[in-house]
Amino acid sequence: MRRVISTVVLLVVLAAPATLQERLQLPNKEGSVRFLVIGDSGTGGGEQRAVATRIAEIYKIFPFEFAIMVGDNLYGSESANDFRRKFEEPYKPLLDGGVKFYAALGNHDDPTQRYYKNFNMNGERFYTFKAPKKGPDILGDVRFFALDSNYMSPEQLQWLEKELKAAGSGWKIPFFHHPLYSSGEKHGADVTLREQLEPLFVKYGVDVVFAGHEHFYERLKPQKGITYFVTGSAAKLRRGNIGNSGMTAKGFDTGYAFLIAEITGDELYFQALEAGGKTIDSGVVKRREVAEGAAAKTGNQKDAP
Amino acid sequence: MQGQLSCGVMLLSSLLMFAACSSESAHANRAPEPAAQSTAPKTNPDAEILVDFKKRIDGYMALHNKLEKEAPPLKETKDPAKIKASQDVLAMKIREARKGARQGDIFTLEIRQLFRRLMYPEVKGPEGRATKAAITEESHELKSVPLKVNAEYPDNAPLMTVPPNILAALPKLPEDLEYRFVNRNMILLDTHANVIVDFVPNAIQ
Repeated sequence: MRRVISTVVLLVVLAAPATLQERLQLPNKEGSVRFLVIGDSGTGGGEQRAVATRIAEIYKIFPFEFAIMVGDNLYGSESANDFRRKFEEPYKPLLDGGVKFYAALGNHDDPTQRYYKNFNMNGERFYTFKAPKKGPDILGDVRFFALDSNYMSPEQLQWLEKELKAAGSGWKIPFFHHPLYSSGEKHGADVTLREQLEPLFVKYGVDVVFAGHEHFYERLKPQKGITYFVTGSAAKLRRGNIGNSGMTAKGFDTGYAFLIAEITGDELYFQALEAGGKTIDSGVVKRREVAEGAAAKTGNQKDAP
Repeated sequence: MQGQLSCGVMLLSSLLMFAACSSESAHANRAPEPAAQSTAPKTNPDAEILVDFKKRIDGYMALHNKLEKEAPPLKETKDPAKIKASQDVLAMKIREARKGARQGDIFTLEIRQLFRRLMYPEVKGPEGRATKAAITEESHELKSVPLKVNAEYPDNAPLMTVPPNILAALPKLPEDLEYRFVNRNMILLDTHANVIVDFVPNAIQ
């Protein structure tokens, strides 16, 4: 009997990581750029911890180098204890593993968060950083732009245009709190922000944008060629809030979620998972400049999923 | 700041003048100018108000900068307690130094009226609906925000988005000062100290 139990335990132990491994739908390729996206995460509650535990499991089989936080990094008070409870403890395995977090400010964040070193904002409310480039198949940089969508001043817009222009032909990935497109019935799209940002994104060849604010997961059908993700359910959830906008490519508003992504060459692979570890969405976004170039040659443009 | 002000003056001179839909506007009607002054060089009255606003902001910032030097420095750190300490000490010093501060010290009656006028085109009619919606989006969560000079902006209240078109219509502020909305009221927030410096009641009509 003892032998049977031991065998069962062993099988369970062996089977668990294998299952997770099997569920990984990203190439997990040597030399690729791998990252995590979380939003509206800083509650310090059980839901945040459950999602963080799942993320830590994923990290073991998909070792991403950095994480982007799309705002609402800390809800409520922001004492040292809150930073510990709402950020450092839930993501300890990642911090211990050397994962760098890059935060954008949400409407629940005190702007002084930009001085917290673990958020890597360098004291700036909006900033840009380059992902570590390892593989030879990624041409150009993979550059991220963290924006403060709470306070989109003319100065920030000028800065963004200058930086997008200087970024050249590589991947350009903005992330910020308020979504330009969303099917949320609570908030919906931020139209005034969209009027300012979308023309810049289109002009300078942005392909993918990450936002939060809405407490669910949604991938929008490409808008003017750009794929928008809403990833605001890493600790908060607004059940059944995705309305019928006709713009949803994939939505998930019945559980907590996060997203992992991998860039290899001109493709960005993504996989969104719920707190239980089930995949709720996955696919690939091809860099538009490349896709359009190919379409011009072959007459067969492939849309992002 | 001088350059920013010039921008604001240029922006203002191109704006049409129309009355603010404010209860305060009735009190602001100026007496007719004496005929003898009609030959004097003309100045844009809005520009004068903006100069006054800049002067008041500069005055506040001089105090802020002086007190900031006496508080623990706000610099990048792994210890959030240091950030909080810097914020709390500065807030305490500002409250102490501005013990007698009242609503209207920065946003005088004329400045309040001008600001309402500057923002009005952005929120009026169907085109302004999205802007208004962005400002009042989570107003139900703002009950705890006291509309009071020197008050702390509460931790549990979100900071309302200030739409880009509103920011473009208003004079630029120095770092550490921000416009924010509390329902239809606009506050001037010292973000380092997390202190409400002044406010404009019913800023959005």
